[in-house]
Amino acid sequence: MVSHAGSAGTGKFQLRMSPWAIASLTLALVFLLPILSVFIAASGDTGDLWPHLFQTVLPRYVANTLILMAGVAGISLLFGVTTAWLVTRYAFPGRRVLEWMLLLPAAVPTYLIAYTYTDFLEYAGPVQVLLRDIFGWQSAREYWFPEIRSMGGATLVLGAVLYPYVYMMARAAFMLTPASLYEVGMLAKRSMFLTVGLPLARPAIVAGLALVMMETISEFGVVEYFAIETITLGIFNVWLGMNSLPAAAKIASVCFLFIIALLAIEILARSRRRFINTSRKSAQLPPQQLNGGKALACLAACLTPIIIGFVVPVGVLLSFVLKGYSLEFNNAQLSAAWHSISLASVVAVLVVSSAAFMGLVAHYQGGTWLRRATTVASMGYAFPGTILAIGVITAAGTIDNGIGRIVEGMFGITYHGWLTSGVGLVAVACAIRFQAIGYGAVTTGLGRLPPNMMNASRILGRTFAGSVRETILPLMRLSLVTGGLLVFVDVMKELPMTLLLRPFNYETLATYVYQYAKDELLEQAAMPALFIVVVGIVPVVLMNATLRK
Amino acid sequence: MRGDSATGLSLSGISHAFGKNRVLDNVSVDVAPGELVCLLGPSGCGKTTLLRIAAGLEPLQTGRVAIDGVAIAEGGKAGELPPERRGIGLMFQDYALFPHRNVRDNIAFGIDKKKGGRRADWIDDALAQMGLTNHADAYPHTLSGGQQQRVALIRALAPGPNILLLDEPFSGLDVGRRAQIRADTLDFVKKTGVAALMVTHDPEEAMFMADRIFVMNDGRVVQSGSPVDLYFQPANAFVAELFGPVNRFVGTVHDGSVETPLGKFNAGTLAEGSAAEVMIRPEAFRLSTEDSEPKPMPGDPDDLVVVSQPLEVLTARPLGRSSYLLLSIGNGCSVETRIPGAFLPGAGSMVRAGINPRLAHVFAAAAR
Repeated sequence: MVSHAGSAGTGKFQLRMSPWAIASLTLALVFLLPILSVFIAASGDTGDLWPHLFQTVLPRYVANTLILMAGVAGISLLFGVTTAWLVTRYAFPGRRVLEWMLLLPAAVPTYLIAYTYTDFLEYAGPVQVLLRDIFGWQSAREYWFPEIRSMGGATLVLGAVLYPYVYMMARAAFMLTPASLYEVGMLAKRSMFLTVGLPLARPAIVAGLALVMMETISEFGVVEYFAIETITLGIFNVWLGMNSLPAAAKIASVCFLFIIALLAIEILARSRRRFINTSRKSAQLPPQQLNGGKALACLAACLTPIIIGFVVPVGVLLSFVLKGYSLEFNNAQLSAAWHSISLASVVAVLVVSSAAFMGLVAHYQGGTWLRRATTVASMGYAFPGTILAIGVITAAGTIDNGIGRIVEGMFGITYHGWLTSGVGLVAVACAIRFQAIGYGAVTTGLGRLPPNMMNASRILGRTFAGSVRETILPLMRLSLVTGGLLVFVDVMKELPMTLLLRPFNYETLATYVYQYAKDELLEQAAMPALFIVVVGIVPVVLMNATLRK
Repeated sequence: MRGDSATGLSLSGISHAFGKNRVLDNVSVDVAPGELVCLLGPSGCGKTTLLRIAAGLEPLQTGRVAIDGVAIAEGGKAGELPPERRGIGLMFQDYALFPHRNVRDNIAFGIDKKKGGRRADWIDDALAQMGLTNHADAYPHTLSGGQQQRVALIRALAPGPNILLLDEPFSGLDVGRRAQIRADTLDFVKKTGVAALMVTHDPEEAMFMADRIFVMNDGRVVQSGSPVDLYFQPANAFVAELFGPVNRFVGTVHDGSVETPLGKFNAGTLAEGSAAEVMIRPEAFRLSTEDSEPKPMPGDPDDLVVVSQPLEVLTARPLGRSSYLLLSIGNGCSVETRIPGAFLPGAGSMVRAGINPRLAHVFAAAAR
């Protein structure tokens, strides 16, 4: 039979637009508007600032960004691929626990690992104190100690918390490769890793790596704290430091080139991932039992990234709390926690409902073009928070100006620009940035639906809306809740957009920790920081559950 | 072809394309109340698309869909009735039972009490009739394939539709269970008196179920008629081959018949001197030992086409109910035959053959 992918009309140009499709398209445009607005902002007048920036700092920004990306990619590959292979192929003591502990560093926001390592490795920190005690050194001049607040340090700490993306993708690919293929390699007496595991997992690994790269470009907390002048930090500094939004937007448009390249790589890699047949459950190769030295070596190899990416930063925060810092709850902390939780909840609901709406309409009612528009509308994740912030504020400003002119012209009332002066701006920016998570959840949910559910429901007398309500949404509930939870956690951890767009005196836990860390008073914010990490463990548990299935 | 005034389902002049790929070309099919019509054809012939168009799951491009003489969709016109308002039942190939509802709730899903749909006692009766009474509270994934199939059938009929569409309703079942479920399904559908349109690629299934069969190929209806008509009077080689394997010979029409190594066959209306092909079904053969004459079986015409020379047995294999014999006809050529019962002469022995001419079909060779 001709394959009907469960949806109507695949005709090449169907202009039979249902009201649902129109509503969905409008929503998609709202999500795209801020991204397009960056270009509007970039066309603004910069005086002679831009040529100056272009000649002096821009090359440095670009070079630093590239160096950082390369370094983080290297570390993520090293940590992610080796550990994924070890826990999939070998059985050694502690393997089952390590399997999911390897995801734990994903719970630590990048800015927290930067703050804690700085504290850990500074002159007065525990490491240097211990070294001085042992060797009897009196001052910093008597010994050499690596500076964590450097390009190398940034690479290490970023790699240590971002490698789980690669690990997760690689492990899933290794697990899904059928045993028979490994056995072919084994019978041919060839390296199973080099001839079977790695080539088949390559697209998955590349897709994971693309995500790591996007996170690296977007990175704000670490580069700001370590003063690594990347493009993202440049945008932030030019906007806030030189007070020039147009110039910042111009730098942002340079950044677009990187993002588009990465998006292309990711999409390509994801489409190629299909060459492992995931639809059928094939037998998995039982892991090979290791003992003695080899088992110890595996254990050490898997523990290293966990220690660097999770144990040390959490240990530093815990030790602050154990020493009695940051234990009394004050109003500022409580209000920051409330802001974080309420903002995260609102954004989670916003993302899941908009993603469900657009995803379902595109799947069931849309032609090819509506599906594309929906996919494009969920690409906010590829754009650094600083850039989205520019876009959102420009779009909101334009709309506010428009409303202001109309209101003043018609009623003679002065309009204060409600859109540009509220928490709503932060929520919208977060919803755009994390839309992909919701859209991913909807796509997964749709993929897991048994075939013909919508058709059966409609044949049995339900309208499209009725079918969605009574049949499709109940069947997708789990995927949607999971998606919402992931969004919630990401908003809790979010820093740069909140910093740039929040109203005066509006603190979330992340900005609260940021302020204290900036004043070198991290211990005063240890408790809120730990709280962010603990919340961050939720998606780790979820991710692990998905992998185990 | 009946007019629009007729009751039941009428699909007329339907053409459909996916992009540039034309899957239906001016197809017309009608189903009267109480009648079961089969769309039979190979994969990709467009039969499922036609079913989806009738259901409203695929927007109509060209043609007309009418129920009881009232158009519910017309190509090029707005106002196509959405699937939920057509009052058509559809049984999906994969059953499409709702996994989050139990058997009873699945069946009751489409019943609209306000519109006078069937009531709870109807569901109980249907479940009892299909041997599912003990499974009313079970969830679909706990049922066997055959049970799911029956739930899907009851669910499709529960709202009391006048039209029932069945998409390959038996393809998911074990061969062993099929015959019984087929019989149950036919019985159940016939009792409701709906106009039923069923899609299948299995000719035996179509012949068992259908009052009329529409054979489709490449988006067109190539022949329609009763199962007996189609089996004994296929309109062309495609239909003949669809209903089972054939031994194929080519020849020229001479004096109203075609000469083959097995004898002369009536060429019907084919022109003198034109190229023709003769298709002889393996089950057309009547065999006997070398020292006796092959005899007609009950149902055969009196005069078999008798093969003049004895044929050498190359292989003889038992198939249970019948025997398979491969016979040499000289020049390195052979014919396949299928004989009821166990007739298994040794390889190399000679047999005499007669052919039931009703199972030997002659077509113009250009038809291919």
